[in-house]
Amino acid sequence: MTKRKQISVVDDDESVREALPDLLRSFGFDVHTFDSAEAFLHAGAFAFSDGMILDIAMPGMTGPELFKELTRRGNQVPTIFVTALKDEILRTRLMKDGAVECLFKPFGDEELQVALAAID
Amino acid sequence: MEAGLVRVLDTLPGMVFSINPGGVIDFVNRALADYVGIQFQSDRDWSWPIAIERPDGATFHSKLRSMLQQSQPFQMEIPLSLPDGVGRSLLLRCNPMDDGAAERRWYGIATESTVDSRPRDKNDFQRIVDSIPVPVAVTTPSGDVEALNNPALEYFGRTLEELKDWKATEVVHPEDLQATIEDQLNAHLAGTFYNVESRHLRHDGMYRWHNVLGLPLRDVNGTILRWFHLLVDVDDRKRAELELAAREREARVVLESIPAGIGVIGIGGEVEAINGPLLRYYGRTLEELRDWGSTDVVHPDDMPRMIDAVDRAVALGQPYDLEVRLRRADGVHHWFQVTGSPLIDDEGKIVRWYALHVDIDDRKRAEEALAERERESRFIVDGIAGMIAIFSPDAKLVGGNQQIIDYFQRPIDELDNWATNGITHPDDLQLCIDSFMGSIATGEPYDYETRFLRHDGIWRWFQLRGLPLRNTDGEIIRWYGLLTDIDDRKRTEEQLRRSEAFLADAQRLSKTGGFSLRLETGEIVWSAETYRIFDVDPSSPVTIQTVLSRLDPESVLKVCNVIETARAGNGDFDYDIRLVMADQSVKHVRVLAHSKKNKDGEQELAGAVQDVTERREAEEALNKVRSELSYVTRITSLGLLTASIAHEVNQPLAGIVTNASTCLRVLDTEPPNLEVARDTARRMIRDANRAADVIVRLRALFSRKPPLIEPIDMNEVATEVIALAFGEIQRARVSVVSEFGAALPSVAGARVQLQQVIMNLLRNAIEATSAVEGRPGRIVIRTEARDAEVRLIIEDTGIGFGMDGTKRIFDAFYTTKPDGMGIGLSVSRSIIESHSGRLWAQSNALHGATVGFSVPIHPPGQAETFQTDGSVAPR
Repeated sequence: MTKRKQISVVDDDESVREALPDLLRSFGFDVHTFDSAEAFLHAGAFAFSDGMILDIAMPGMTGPELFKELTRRGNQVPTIFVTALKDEILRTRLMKDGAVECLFKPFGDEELQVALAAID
Repeated sequence: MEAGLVRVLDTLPGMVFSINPGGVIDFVNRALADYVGIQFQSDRDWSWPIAIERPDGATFHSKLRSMLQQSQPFQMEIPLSLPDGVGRSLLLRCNPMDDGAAERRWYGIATESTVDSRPRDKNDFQRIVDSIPVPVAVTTPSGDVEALNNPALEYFGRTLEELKDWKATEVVHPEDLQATIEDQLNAHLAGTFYNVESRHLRHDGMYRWHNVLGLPLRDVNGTILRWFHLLVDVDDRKRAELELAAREREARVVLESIPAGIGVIGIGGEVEAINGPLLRYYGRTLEELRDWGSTDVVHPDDMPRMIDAVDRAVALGQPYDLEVRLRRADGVHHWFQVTGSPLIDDEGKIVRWYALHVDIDDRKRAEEALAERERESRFIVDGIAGMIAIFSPDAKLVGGNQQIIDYFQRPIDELDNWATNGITHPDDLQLCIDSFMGSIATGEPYDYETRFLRHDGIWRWFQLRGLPLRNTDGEIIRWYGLLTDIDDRKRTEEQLRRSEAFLADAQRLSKTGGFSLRLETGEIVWSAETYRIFDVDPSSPVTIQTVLSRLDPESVLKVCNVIETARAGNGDFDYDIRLVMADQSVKHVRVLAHSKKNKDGEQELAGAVQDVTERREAEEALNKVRSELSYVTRITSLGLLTASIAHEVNQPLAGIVTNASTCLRVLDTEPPNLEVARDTARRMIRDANRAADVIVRLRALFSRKPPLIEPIDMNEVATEVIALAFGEIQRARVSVVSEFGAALPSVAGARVQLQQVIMNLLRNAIEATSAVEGRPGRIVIRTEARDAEVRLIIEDTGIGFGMDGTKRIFDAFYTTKPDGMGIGLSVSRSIIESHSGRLWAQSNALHGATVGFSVPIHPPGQAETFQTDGSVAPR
């Protein structure tokens, strides 16, 4: 059997960190959660992450900054951005920069599944 | 001369003639004419044919004339030069005859001299003696009279025989006889000459004083042969001497008896004599007083002057006159006037000094009393609170009191030039000259005001009043001028005038007028501005009807009530009235007044009316603007908050959706994972509640309901705001640090309003901070309890307020933000002030700004009331 893909969830919102892993596991992924971008980098999670669900607005390093930093290092992880702030301009820019997707909270499980499919 | 008498005279066997004082012979009898060999004619002048070839011949005529000038009988011998050439002499004996005629006549007898008048024998005593023109007596060494010359015989009018016994007769004055005899005796014994003055009886029975000089005649062996006694008539001198002595005696008596002191001082200054009165005054002897300068007879204070005066007098020859105190014998000092005068002889030389001492003690005391009175008057004059100037009738300044001298510190004669020497203010000079000289000319009193230069260079105002002093004839003899310093009054007047002007200005500018109403009489007084406010002609009298006619009906009632109340007693009033003007425009007027008894004891309502129309209108406009602004702010905030609200709502919604999806999925699996489903369900409930909370708060924010005043935890509100602003904070890339105080008391406030303020301040800080590049943005939110209030302070490192921002930041529409409207802070402040708090802002020392506010703590124990009572509308 193939190895289950590793998805990292980086979000400062606890309810997201609680809700998403159950859903992702039901999709058949392994899940690691981080409450900040710094925690993700510190754990060196980019090395084992096949994909990443990344919150945009976080205290400290924001989602886009983490994404940019990983690109700079050449440690790109396919990234699906999620945000509670519906900002189409920001979304377009992030997509252009190479994001897999940018979902506005609240989003449905189908949307997430479509986006995750692109990671494969 | 009568022919009969002439015949008698011609018949006489002697020579007779008459002669006038000029030496002209106007009659000779026949015997004399025959003797000299002339035919005498009475109408022709004739004089003695003197033998002028004789050595003494030339002097006979003058000698004869000088004798004729006297009134005494005389005899003289004259040498004659007669036609026969034989030298002869005639002895003339002449007697004067005073017959009442203007000219004395002399009658004489001429006898032929028995001896030849020419000297033949030098030893002939008689001839020598006879030639001596004064009486001479020749005596033997024992004192017996041996011979007398003719003058002697003439003088005594006696024969030699009679005169030999002179000691027994009264030839020598009895008072002098003894002394004469003794002197002669002593002289005869000693063999030396003698000299004595004695009186001798003349042939006419008069004693005359003679200086008798006795000289011895000695033979070749030195033996005294005879004594010659010369009698020189010294009667005139002697009498003068005696008279002088008598006068001196008399003077002495006078000196001793006059009631004044006399001192006689020698030309060297030595005391020669002092009269009795002065000696008695001093109670000292002349000897004691010779060295008066070292005694205490002159008062010690006066002694130096006295010594100096006498010294100067003696040295310079000038009289002296001074007043000194002299010590009486009993030790009492009296004032004396001492006058020293020199006695000067015929050659102008000073012989001695006489010093007159006159007791002037009474006068002096009177003078002193007078001086004292004058001093007193002077004191009064000097004590007058004003300057006094005394002018002559021709306007010359002749005197002044001490004050005038003190004020100007110039002498009187300099002050006389008041018109030219700069002491009168140039602006007042013409008035002074016109007023003063006008009065001098007319004699009318003067009264005017001018400025005079004080000695220290300060001009002060004076009132000048002058009155003429007239003598009994009504002529002006003096002008008395009183100069009263009115500078303070003048200044007060000026200040009053100015403050009245100020008041008028202030009234006009503040649109405030004054008024007073005498309630008993209805008399009304208005200030100028009150007339303006009521739009009444200032010249027309004001009555209560004037006032009421201007008021709207409601105000009429109000004013009538006030007047009634004021009439009843004292009180303060503060009310608004409306005036309806002629053009139907309305004025809002505020009235502040109080009623009380005035100084005349009448009840009076006095106060101020202020036209507040503009202010009222402005306030209304402002209120309108403010409420509009408040709404705009809220809307603006709303728009900006939408993002945060969406974030806040979307987070729990995202959780719910995710959990719901998960739930469905785990339930669809076989077997369904119920445990996860239950977890997701629990999480959905939690997130849903969280979302509901956000909605509740949101609704409060948008609600138009009056805010609820409740006890509020400032930290909680601040936390909520930070949460709401989270998105903005993120975007601005600034860090927000909260330093909340522990256990803060609750404050009384409206939660949503305080949230709005904090949000406003925080957003300002975020924007100001994010606008700065090159340094990390940092915002600190601090809360603390201090005194009875809680403070919240937001400190940023932003761009600050700029140069003068601190003053203006609370102005509406002032902003440092490029896209801001600038209404946040002013609205925030009005919210905080409605919480009885205050809001402040200041620039930081280094970067950025600090803005904070304080709100009073919620009073403990009233929390219940607030909660049940519900809302309290903010002011």
